Amino acid sequence: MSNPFSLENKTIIITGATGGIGKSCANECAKMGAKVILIGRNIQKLQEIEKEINSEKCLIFPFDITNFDELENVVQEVVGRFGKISGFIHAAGKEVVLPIKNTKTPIIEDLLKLNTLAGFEIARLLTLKKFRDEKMCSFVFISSVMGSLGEPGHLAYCISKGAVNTGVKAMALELAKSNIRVNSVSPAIIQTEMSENLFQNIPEESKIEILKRHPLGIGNPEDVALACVYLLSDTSKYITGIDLIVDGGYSAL
Amino acid sequence: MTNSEFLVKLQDELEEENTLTLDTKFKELEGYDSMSILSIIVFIDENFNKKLNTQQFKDISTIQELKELIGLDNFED
Repeated sequence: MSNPFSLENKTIIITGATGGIGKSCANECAKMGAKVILIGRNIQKLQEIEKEINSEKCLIFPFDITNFDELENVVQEVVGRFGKISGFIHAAGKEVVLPIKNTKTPIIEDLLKLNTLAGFEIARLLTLKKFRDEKMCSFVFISSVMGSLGEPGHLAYCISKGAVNTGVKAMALELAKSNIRVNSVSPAIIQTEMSENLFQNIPEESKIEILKRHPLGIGNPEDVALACVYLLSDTSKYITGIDLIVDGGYSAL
Repeated sequence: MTNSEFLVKLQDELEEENTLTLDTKFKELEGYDSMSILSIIVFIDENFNKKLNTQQFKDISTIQELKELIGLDNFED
């Protein structure tokens, strides 16, 4: 019986590939048969992930994706080396926790650049026929429950993820006729280095409060990565413009 | 930085109407909440180039203790 979540014959670009969720996406996509192109800033970490994955199916590309002017060259090069792209996961992202009065414009701009604009710029390039598989293409943005729900101290992060959620819908509508599906996946707190940093930097009572709001407990990166696999696979061929919430019940409260 | 400069700047940062002293307890301040700790962390980073984390605030209650956390050698008096 064929695997409904197979990603055989698909080539997938993953940004933020050295982060907890990005790395898990790389592993799960490769396990499902995809060729993966991993973009991240830390070459050593990229090389470690490359070792874990069958190297024939994995291309690493150390690059800072906030260098917007260079992104087209990057996409051109990876397409030249690995073929046209059929999937994209924007997992690059960072978080700051600050009171509103300290959240000055440059801080918001900094988060928007990485969490939001870099992803949409790569997606924009991948809409070009010269770069994409014209039969079927799927873009997945890692958003957050904070893209639709508020959280004290997270103004900049909420802005950056809220923009992802609505940008995804705009793209989905415009690209449906081109056989490109666009969706987001919204985790709550996932066990990663980023969430450990978060817990280091918020008051104890906020931490307890956050943990209480996850009825199924804190999630693992695989929970998010497998949701991405689903959205990248042809099994989800009728799904576009959605925000798939993977939050252990956080937003049901 | 002198004690008095520190107290005035901190009062300004916390938007407190009452004058602060080294004996002032954070929890007695009117608008003090979990966000205030984050605000103080930014204030200390900007003024003393020292990065504290929220865990370090669990064991302190007065401004004197915050001053000790920053390091007394950062103060002129």
